[in-house]
Amino acid sequence: MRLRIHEQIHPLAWWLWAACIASMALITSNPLVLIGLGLVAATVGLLRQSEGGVSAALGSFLMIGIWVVGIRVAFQVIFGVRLPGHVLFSLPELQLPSWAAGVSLGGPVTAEALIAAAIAGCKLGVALIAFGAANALASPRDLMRILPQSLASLSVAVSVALAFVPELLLAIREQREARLLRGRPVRGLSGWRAMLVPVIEGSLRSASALSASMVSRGFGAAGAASNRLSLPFLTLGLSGLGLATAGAYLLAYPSLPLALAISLIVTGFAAIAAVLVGGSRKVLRTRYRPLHFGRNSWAVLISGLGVSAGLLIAQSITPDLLAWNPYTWTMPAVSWLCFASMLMGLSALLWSPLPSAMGERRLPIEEYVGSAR
Amino acid sequence: MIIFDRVSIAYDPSSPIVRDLSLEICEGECFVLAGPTGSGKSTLLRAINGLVPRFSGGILEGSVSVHGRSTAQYGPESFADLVGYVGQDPTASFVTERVEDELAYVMENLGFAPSTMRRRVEEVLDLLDLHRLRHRPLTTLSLGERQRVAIGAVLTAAPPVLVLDEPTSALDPMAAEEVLAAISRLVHDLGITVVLAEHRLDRVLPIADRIGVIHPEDASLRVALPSEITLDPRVSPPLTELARKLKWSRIPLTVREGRRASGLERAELVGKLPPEEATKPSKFVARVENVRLHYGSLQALRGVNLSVGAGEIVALMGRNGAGKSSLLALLAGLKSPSSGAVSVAGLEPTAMKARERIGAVGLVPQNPTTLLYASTVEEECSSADLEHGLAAGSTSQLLGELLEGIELEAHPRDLSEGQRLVLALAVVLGPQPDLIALDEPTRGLDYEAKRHLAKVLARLRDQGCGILVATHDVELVAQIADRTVVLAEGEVVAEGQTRAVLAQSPSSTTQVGKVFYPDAWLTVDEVVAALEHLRTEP
Repeated sequence: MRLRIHEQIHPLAWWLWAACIASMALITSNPLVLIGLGLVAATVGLLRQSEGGVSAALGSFLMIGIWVVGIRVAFQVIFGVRLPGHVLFSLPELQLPSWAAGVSLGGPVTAEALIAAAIAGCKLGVALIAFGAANALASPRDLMRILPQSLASLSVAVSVALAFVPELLLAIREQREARLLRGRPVRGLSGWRAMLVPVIEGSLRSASALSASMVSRGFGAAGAASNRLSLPFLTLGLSGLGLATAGAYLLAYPSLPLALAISLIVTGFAAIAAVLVGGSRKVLRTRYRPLHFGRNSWAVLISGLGVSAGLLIAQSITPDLLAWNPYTWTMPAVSWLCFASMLMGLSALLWSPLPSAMGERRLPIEEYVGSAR
Repeated sequence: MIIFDRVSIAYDPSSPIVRDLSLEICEGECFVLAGPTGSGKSTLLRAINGLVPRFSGGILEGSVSVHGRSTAQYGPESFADLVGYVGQDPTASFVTERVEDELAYVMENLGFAPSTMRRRVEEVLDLLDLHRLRHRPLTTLSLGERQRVAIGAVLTAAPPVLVLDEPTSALDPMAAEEVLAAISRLVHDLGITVVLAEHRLDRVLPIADRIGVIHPEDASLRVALPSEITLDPRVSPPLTELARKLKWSRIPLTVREGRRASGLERAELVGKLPPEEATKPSKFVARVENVRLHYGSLQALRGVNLSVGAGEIVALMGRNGAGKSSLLALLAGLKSPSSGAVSVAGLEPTAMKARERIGAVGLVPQNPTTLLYASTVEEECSSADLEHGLAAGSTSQLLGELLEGIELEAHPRDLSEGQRLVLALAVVLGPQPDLIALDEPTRGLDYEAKRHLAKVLARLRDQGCGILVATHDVELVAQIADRTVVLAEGEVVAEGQTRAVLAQSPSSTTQVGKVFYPDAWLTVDEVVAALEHLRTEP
């Protein structure tokens, strides 16, 4: 396969690549595999973040990931289920009334329970890192652009939300500085409460400025009337959704035939796809420079799928590879296939172009916030 | 053609913004909307494509139509092919992430064929001189570039009407000229009808065909030709003021006309500039020594030295992003320098306690509203009294001294821009800081409010305050500043007596300065006074 160095990777390829890694992170409890997945996502995200991508995303999601692990462990310490194990320390235990029998408060904290909680937190944390990497690799706005037209309103909601977050952060900083200038408390409850109203007001104002700008640039002009799905399409879409849900529910019952569940899901998704494609024909929007899903994008997508496939095959060869139980006190299993699948994930680096250094000059508008307005 | 037919707009039925307005703006006309801050310029502009009242609430009576399409029947989205509306803050209007995508957005919405889109994008890139920026992310653009992209983003739909809300208010003089040159090209080369609101009439008079001034007292719009507008002192730029005071028969609208009309006066005044004695301030209230500041890899300040004396007004000038606001943030203790020393009243601002700091330095930020929390002016004043440990009523008394006629029951957000600025100033002045710093205080102020601000600052100086004003406004600088410091890319490029600094370059001086170049006359008042002096005692 010959690849073109400068071909832009389709945003969908990056997001699916990240989804493969995130889904693997969510189904494994093997700490070594989790660490590997986290490293792959972070490395590729860092080395290939695009100009359009949310460059701060990776860092912030890393922070959120760490918080998730911390909170998960803290909850385990306070509320966790008490199984026998190596007790590290004991908290005073609170006797709860009989109606809260399932919940325990305090009590002995075991090393096993802590490790299990940390791993559970890590699963979510690594999935978040993968999501952050996806944000950095391809802007969510670009992803929204390729949604079928019948989901246009979803893409608007996302664009407004995306504009809202930085404005919110800016408004918070502005209020903080204003309080400093008046010598008022910045920290603590009173500080936050006083900031709340102006911050919300400021971000609502900018969200409304954005929507005014969108509307006066013809947003909803062509598709306004036809954007709503007609009744047959609506029925088809809803029944498709129902079928897919029912199929997913049946999956959970091993006693029922698997084929039934899968055929329900497939039919459901086919119906939804038909609605998305059929419904979007009516909308008269066009696309400037449509993105092309080229060879390199396929290569990136395959490298993501390779991670999933490699790990699933490894699991079928070495049972208990993905599921590791801290209570057994054994080393988590690894196999050469695990390494191979991590390398597969990293191979996305080979197919994607280096972020171009287009001689960018960022305007120092963040001198202090008041100046950015 | 835009037709306002007996239009009344009101958010509050008891005080309409305009009443019974009938106006026709012809095709290819450049119509400028002026009037005091808060008089409803934006509202009137937004009524053209129906954003008012559909987006803002309020009541609109009568009818507004553009090329026969009435806003009563169609929503703003149906006007995208007729009216290009560019709001006040270009950054808030961006939907996409790159320049090219932003330009294509309106065409995507209107369902243009891809080949047409490519063509139009190229044309607009050339027209507004944006081709070098085409792949750049919007966040990396300067403010002037952003404004041009925002204009381009509506132009690609080739609307016959362009509506611009204060397109230059946030820009430094050079960037403003860039944008105005682009607008003037649209008016003259393409015959686009342009309606724009603008405070700084001196900038737009040369391209305006007619000017409408909103008079809030009777909610009316008075339309005049540029040569007649000069009769209204509230909106008259310095050049027309000069012409009026010297009783010239024709009122010049441009510097070129001004130079041609003023031959006599210029000859008379050659070499008559009174010599200026450099005053040495008795003590310094603020000092910045060899200060560097960087954010990541970006150098905001590279070894800046600056001092402000007691009883001195220092102006800080320079283009957007030159480091002015960073310097103010350092002095106010919002940031600490990467290296170098900052001291205010002999102490380091970041090392002071909150109480001490606000007693040493008061900063009025660009958006003074952020300093105000209470729901009435009176409450704001009394809470400031409490906070600063002053006798009850001192802040409101101070406010009264600074500016008369502020209603104490009004909500701070309902005040005019100028009144709000003075209220924020009064609150900051409560603890009697040694240094007062103002960031772009004249942004959004009309000529009258600006004159008043100049008076207030001059009085504070006479009371011994050190004042540092970061501004683009050369006219204000010429009126009040004792010394001027010009920053560029985080370095001091010029420093000295205001007159010397401003007269160094004819392109960055005041209107009067441009007319009298190379002589360093800067303000209307000094020219008029000198001429009177010459003519009364020969």
